[in-house]
Amino acid sequence: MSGGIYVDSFAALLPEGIIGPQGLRTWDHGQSGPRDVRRDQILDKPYVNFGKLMLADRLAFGAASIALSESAITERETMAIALGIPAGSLSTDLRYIESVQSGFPSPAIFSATLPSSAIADIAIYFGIKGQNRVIAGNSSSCLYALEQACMLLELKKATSVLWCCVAAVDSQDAQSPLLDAPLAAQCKSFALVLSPKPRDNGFAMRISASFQPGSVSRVVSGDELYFSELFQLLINQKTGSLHCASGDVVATLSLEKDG
Amino acid sequence: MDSLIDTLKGQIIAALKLSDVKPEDIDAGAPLVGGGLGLDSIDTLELIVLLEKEYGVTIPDVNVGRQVFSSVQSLASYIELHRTKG
Amino acid sequence: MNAISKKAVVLEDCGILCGLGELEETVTDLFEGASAIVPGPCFDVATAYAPFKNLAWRDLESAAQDLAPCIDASALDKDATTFIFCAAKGDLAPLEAYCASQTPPGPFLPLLSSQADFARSVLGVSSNRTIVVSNACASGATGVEIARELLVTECARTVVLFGFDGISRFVATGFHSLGALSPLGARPFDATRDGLSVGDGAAVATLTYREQFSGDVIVAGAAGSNDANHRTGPSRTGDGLFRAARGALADAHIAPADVGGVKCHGTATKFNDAMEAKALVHLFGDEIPPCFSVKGAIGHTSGAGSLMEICIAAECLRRRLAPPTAGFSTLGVEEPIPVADARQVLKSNSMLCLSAGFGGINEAVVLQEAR
Repeated sequence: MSGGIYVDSFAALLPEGIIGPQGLRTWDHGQSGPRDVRRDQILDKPYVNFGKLMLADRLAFGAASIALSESAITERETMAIALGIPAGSLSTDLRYIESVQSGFPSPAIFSATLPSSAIADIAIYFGIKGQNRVIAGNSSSCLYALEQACMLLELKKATSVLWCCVAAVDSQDAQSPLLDAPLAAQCKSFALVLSPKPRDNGFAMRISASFQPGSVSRVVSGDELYFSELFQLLINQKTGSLHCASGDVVATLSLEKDG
Repeated sequence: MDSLIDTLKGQIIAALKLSDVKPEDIDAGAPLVGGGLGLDSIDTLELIVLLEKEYGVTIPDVNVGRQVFSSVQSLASYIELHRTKG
Repeated sequence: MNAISKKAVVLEDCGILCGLGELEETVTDLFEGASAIVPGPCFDVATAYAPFKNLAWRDLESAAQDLAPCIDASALDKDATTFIFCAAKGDLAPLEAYCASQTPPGPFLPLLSSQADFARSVLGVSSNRTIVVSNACASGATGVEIARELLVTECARTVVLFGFDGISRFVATGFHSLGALSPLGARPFDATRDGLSVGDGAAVATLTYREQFSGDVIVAGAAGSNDANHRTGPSRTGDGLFRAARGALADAHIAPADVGGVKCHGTATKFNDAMEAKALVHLFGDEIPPCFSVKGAIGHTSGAGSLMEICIAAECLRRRLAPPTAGFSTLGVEEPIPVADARQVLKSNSMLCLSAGFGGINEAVVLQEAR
């Protein structure tokens, strides 16, 4: 579908560790994975709202923070955010219902019970004022969000796009019959800053994606592997192609170098 | 009153999930809402829930609220006057 | 009939379900100043609210069944059709039933994608792409913008949009905990306004990209933005909504002076209406066209609502009239916004539709009736 879209910066919170342009940092002793990420691992300065973030919002904010702090792009008024969030706000919804059942509904938790809550703190903290596209609900969400990001850049509705994905299910909810099995085990996030121009020096990696919507039989572990592979390529600045099938979307993501 | 203030500081930190703040960082006489803790309007609403849940105290209107939340000290005084539990 | 000119994104079919009923009767009632807001309690919360005229619609399957006749699903080509489901929360009944009594989920899971697949099958739509847009209370409007993009880039030949957001204990207690609800009923832009009224809403719409004919309502442009200000409240200057509106007008290649009327977000909270008024003045200066809000008549119907209100706005545009704003009597914002408790004549064949949502999201859509 597109060419001429560059990866300006990237980050991920994955089971194997925290990923950014500098490489991989494994989790500290005592941290089970992305759900235990600490503020000092993603931001240099204290941030009063960090502790208030529900799981999905915290993971999205974490990946976005690292990617944006490594990004060369300073124009944030026309930066868009395209978020893919497979499990929606389910974990937060369950925490809110618990607060209602306790007799004291929580306004803070309620205000986070939307799939789009995950972008709120990112937009506020980093001053990102462009378009928002939030695609929720199943494993296709992340690739549809990328399709949105590419569309916004191609149509010049944004000068850059933060493509962010978060799969967040509280461990207490993982066995719930409310979830599709493929989502139950996941807790991770990533963010790529995409731009129509390559960075001035260093990192000129072009990403192109071709999407083929169509009925694909559900791939149970489909998106667990390919995003880790994507980050291996990015960290090592290697070119490559990933064939991804997830939900009702088949996509090929290619990373190429200019020059 | 002092032990109520100490308890309140801990409860505020827990209820508002102020992960970078310790009780000794909070000055009991300093502005609570609109002060250095960076609390927003949703935090104020959570404080109202906290008062009801822990002390059975309600805030009748916005003006009373503004006065009550002006510091941890004023919050403690209000609770002492009106508490029905805790 | 002769084609007018180049291709445009045409709003082919629309259907809605709300407190005043289906589309025709809702529009008729709006012009008579009627309101579907009734006194509470609403799920034990002391607030007025606007339930579906037919309570059976609160079940996703019934709502989709009753909206299915509004679109001609049999004519759709699976490989060229995209289905977009728009919802902030969708149908929360299965989630609440499970939490209350461990009732296993029925024909669909709480996840929005499962609701989307289910609704699509009840509507009888075959598509090769199902996108779930959940952009808070602007979901439907963002869905319309996405549909427009898919059509003009020829990623799809038809886009079917469906939105559903039902009132629930979850939503009623939540807005109540935020102090956002009016005890007596929403009064948009009014001096005595004191909060919103939750409402049930569902809508379906079909869009295509083809030559325009006289009488077609087209989606001429759209844009979105973020206030980047507060978790739930809008920017006090209305800057985000202004930028979305300005972007939508630019996308439609029209100037503010060409706009015939504004379908406001108008939730009737102190903050939203004050902010929206500032955005309107920033955009239009002294020459603000007739404005209206339907949330004093059918309540705040959340993500599905922004799709529903676009369908209602299209019908108003065909009549070249803005309906009275139910709940309004005396202007209660600093700026002289032309909101009225009577119908107003639109200045032109263009309507600007505004929506906003939690997280600072703003979305603006421009409708035009082809002459």
